[in-house]
Amino acid sequence: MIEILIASILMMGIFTVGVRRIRMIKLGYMLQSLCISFICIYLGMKSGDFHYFIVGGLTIVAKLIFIPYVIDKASAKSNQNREMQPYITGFWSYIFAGISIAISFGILRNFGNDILKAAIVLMVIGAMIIVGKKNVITQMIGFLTMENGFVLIQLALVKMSLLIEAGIMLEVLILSGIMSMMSIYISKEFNTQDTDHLINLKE
Amino acid sequence: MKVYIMCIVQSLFLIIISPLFTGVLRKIKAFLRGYKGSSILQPYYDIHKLVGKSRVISNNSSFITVIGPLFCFAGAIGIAFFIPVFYTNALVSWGNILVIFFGLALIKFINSLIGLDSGSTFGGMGSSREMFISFFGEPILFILILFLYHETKTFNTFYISFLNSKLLLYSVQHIMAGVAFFILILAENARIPIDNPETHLELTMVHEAMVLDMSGPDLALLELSSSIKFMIFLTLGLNLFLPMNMASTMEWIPIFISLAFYLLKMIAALFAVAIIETSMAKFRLFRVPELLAAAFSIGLTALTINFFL
Amino acid sequence: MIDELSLFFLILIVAVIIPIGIYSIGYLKEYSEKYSVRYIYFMTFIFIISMIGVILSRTSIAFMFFWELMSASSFFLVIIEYDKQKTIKAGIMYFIMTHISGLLLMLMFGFIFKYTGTFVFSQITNLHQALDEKQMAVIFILALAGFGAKSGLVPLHPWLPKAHPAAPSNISAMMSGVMLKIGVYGFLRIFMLFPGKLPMAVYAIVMLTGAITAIFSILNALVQDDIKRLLAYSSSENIGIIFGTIGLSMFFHYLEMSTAAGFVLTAALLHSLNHAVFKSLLFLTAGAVNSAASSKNMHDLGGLYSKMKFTAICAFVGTAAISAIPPLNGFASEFMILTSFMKDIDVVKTDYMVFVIVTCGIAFAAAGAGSMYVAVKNFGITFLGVHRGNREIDSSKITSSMKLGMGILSVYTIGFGVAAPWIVKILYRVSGAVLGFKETSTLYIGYDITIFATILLICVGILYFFFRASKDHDEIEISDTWGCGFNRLKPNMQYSSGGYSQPAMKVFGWVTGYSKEIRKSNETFHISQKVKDLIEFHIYNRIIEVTSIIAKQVSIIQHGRIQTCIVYIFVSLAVAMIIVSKYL
Repeated sequence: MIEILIASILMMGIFTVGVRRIRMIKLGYMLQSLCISFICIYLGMKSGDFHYFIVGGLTIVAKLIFIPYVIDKASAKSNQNREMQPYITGFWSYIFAGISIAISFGILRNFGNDILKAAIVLMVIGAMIIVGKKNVITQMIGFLTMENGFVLIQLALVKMSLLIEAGIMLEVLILSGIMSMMSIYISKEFNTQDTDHLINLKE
Repeated sequence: MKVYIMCIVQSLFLIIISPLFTGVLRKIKAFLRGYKGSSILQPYYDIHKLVGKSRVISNNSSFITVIGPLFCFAGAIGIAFFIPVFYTNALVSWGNILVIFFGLALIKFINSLIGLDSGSTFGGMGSSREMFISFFGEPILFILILFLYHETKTFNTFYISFLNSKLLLYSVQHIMAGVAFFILILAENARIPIDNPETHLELTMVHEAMVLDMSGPDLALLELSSSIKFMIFLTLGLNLFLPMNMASTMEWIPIFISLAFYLLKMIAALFAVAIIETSMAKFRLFRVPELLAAAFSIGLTALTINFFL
Repeated sequence: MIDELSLFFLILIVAVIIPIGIYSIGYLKEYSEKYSVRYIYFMTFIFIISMIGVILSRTSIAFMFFWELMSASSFFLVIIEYDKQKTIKAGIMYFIMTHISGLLLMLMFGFIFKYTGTFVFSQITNLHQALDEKQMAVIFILALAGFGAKSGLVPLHPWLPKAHPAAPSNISAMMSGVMLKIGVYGFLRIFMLFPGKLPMAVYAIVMLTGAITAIFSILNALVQDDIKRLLAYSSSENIGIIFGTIGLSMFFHYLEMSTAAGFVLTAALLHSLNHAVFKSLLFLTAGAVNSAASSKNMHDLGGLYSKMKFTAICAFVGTAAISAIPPLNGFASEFMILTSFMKDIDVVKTDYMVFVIVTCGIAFAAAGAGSMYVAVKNFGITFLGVHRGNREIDSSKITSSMKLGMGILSVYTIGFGVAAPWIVKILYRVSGAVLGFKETSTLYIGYDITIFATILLICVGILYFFFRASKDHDEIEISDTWGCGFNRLKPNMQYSSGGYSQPAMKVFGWVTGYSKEIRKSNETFHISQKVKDLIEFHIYNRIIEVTSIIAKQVSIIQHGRIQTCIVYIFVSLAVAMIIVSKYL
């Protein structure tokens, strides 16, 4: 069961690297988060620890309801629904993602369990999305993907503190709020969501 | 000796039943789209009709048109004898996995030459695109074979499915490799989202464009060989990555259970293909490498998980 | 005093040279009007003798002597059509590259002499343990560069796509099929002389050079319009595969896994043999096309099957072999090479070497698919469809001796494929001799290829009987190609060679310097595709520029008087002798 969930997290993560449509990236992110919350609930049922259920519930509330809502709000303001000219095209971002995942696994040889592997992959993918894409919303999803990786690391470690987890969750919510506000302002100012235009702010 | 006879019988079974699977696929698609659809035996009728017709060949055509369909069909039949269908054994000495995939490349090779043979624009287009797609498919294939080898330490398909049928729990990397192979199946067999097998004369087609100038028995052979190729790919996908309940003893009950499971799994796989074909649009040709690169990346991740972790 | 390695390459040379020789008898008739055929025969003779000499020589002096003789005679063979400016340019390029190769090899043998104090191979083998890792690394890097320049490894490959189109086809067949293998032989010989351990990075360098060569050359081959340029790049790709495989074998030897190393080396040797056969065959068919249709540009060709049936069938066999289609010989070696890059990698404990090996495997798999793309393009555009140009095709120029030559090579191609399991057993002995293990156990690669060939043949026979030979299916209607309702299909509406490879260039165009140019003249738009060899364009042209600037500065001291020249020679000789006596 958990294997299928982890495999779908990994595959969803890899698919989001090269996708252009913001709706698809959002969908990939949501499915990832759904799988993570399922993992939380599964672990909770297995261990009987109530914390896991809280984390799972928080994940569902924050990442499947709030953040998609924010993304929708932000992207509704602009008429761009896709990544127009990413720095790294879809083909090469898939290839680079594969290679960087392979290299990071090579470095972290014999390291941890399945959940930790998925966490590493999500971190790498988040970094790839941030580096390769230009759109504000896409970059935000890149950050959020990395954050999903943090959550998975948390889950993989045996002892976890609810406070830290809740803190991270809150941080994510604030981050997504700020980013979406930023995107709205960028699109107001420059009539686009391309972060390249931020260069114009330089004096 | 009984083992060998069983292997031959199951391969003959696959060859005979593969048009039926094509019919089942069409039926499922018709069901999903909400119309009645043709009978599942329709592919057999089509082949019968085509074989009865006379041949029309282009005046530009060469020996490729004469021998090409024969070689295509013979290659498909030859490869069918190298794969396990519902019975597997650790003793069978043939069935090297590389031979299977290179043998399937024979069909691709002849098909793309047939496309160029009559001198029509569409044929050349289909041929060029087929080669283009296979250029990206080959590295994925390498990675997946390497993955299987690393998992089971053998190249023999019979042995791989024998070992994997004993697995109780599929690992993360196994599932991922299976998904990558599924994408590869879609790419190699000209299915949506890579190619649309239903349309003729759209600028989007790959496989249909190559066989445009074929008629009568030639067309029957080519269609039959591509349908056998598709079923070989699906059977391989099932038996390499999901071979649960496969018979490995020569007793009637396990074999029947295994046969039933094989048919069930096959119908499930066809259902998955049908869902993809009804719910997705065909990709633009230059988006195809992106999909295959995603499959490559998934395969590479699976391989490295298996290797390092 | 002939060992297994020399014997193998000797057999390879003789087996390939004989059909090419038969072919040459007819092919050179065309040249007899303008050029001296006797001169060509004489040079070819020297060329063959020098190649055999390289293989049989047992001291480095003899090796270098025959090596230089081989270079010089092949240079004269390249510039047979001396009245063409392009040929001379290509010849000079070849001459310079081959001398860079010779220079590096001389340097290598000099180092060997410095380290061991002898020129004789058998003594060098005994002394090899005296060398430390660094000295070995120096020798091997020089050997890779020197033999690689002769064989066409990237970045020392640019002479291949220039010299092959310039030379007559039988000469290109000899150069591509046989001479490139002499480079492989030389590298293996050095490996055999120094079986000790190298720094691990050297193995990675050899493998990665092979992988880069394979990918770079196959992408460049894909965009060529000239058949022989295409084949030349494809040769370079195959050499990359061979060198990469040898690198892997050396690495397994380093890990003291003799069985694995033997398997891999056998794969490399088998690929050398197979490449020699099918590439010569393809060059010979290209020559036949060139003499019958008097063009080797694919834009003017097409539909040649109707005029030259035998050549087309031979070319089909070669194409299927190079595309690694079972049961032909290309498949046998491709199969072994891919197997060897998968097998035994979990024994490797160094992580980065695992990455290197898997990268090479992926690269070679992609190059295999790419060579299918290239070969189908080459054969399909040239022989199938409708003739594109307006030149007459004179099939009488393909004489029976040419047909015989091509026929023999086609038979080899099929035979080496079907009999691959047995040939591998023989070659395993050669690799045993190179790697220095005496294992008589037979190498088992399975008889799948033979089984498949048998099933294929039986099925084709039965199907032929049912669908072609029987009377009911006699009623064949011959009609125009279906134009989908459009009745005026023209030859130039077919896919052209540029169009055929265009999809791949959309993704990989940056590797081949691909660019499109759109011009407008009188309401008509002309689109042309341009490619350039990036390594040649960016590296070689820079070097040439720098060299010509330096040469201008140096020309100040040149007065044109013979006395001054002699003084210069004397001074440089004296300086060289002082350096040698002081430092070596």
